Amino acid sequence: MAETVMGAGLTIAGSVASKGDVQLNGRVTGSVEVDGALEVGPEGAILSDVRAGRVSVAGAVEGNIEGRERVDLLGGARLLGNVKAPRLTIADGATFRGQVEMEPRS
Amino acid sequence: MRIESREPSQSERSVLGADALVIGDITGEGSLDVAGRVQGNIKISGDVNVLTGASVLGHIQANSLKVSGKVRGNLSARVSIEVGGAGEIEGKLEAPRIGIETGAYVVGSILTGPPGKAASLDQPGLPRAPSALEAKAVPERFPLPPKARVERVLTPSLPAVERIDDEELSQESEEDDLQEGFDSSEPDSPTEERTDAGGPRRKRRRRRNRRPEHDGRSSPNAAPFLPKSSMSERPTQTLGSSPSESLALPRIPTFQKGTHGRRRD
Repeated sequence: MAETVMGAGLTIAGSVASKGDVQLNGRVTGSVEVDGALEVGPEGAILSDVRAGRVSVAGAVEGNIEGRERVDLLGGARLLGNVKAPRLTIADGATFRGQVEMEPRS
Repeated sequence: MRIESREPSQSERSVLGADALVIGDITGEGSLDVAGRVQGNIKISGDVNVLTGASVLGHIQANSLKVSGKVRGNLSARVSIEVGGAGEIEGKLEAPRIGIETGAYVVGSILTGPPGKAASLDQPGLPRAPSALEAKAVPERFPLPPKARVERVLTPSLPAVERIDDEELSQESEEDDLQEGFDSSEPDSPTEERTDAGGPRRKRRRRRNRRPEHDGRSSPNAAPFLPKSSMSERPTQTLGSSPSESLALPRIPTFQKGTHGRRRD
């Protein structure tokens, strides 16, 4: 799968969608919908909902996160929104305010 | 946790994967390789490379541009634009240096030279280059002289033709009158017989020789389509025979005697 890497200096005033893996280090104002893995870098900021297979957040997210497989909030992550994922990890140093909904593992 | 120092804008390279879709504008610092689809404008400080198979629906403004995919929008670069053979562009290209490979599809205008200072076609002071639409219109560069033009309009309508006739007649008759050596010895019949056929040609010939010999080679009188009326057979060789025909010419009988006489006044 092709990989999308967004540099820290870029700003996307819109939505991002991909079938592969996405790494966002910049600023995204719209929603992010990724089929593969989504990685939000420490300088990344996503100001909308996020949906991906696997979500790994090290930056700021203002919106809900839905990970179909798992969601990992790394140290330095700042999440303001709900999380919905079957598996969730919140590392030491992460800031999180929201609700968590973990679907029962089928 | 990695702490990344802010890298210089030019070296930070972003990649938009082949199956990525961005709906929105991309701005900022850094370079970008677009392999996917972008619906929005791209305005960044670094280089933009639109790879084959990628498509951008919007304007692109960057330091240098390389396009091998599809772009529908204007391209503006500070340094250069390179369009590869697989590139398809619909829009303006503006950069100091522009290169287009053979096979590329480019529809739009191309402005080389520094952006903003490019020799715009509409720049005041420069002659405005004719647009394609203007070029198609064929201007009448060689307008025919008024008389000849009217002459070519061989309409059966009586008035127009007769007017010409009258003019000719009046001018020539005036000239003739000035000449003392007016020769009216030519019989009328050949003159009259000649009036109906080949009128226009004779008329032209007569005009060229402003003072034709009075050999009775006459005038093409009016429209050839018109049948000879009784007026045309009026004896014209006699000068001043009729009061309204004081300047009667031997050769050119007119159809409307009244009109003819009126124009003299």
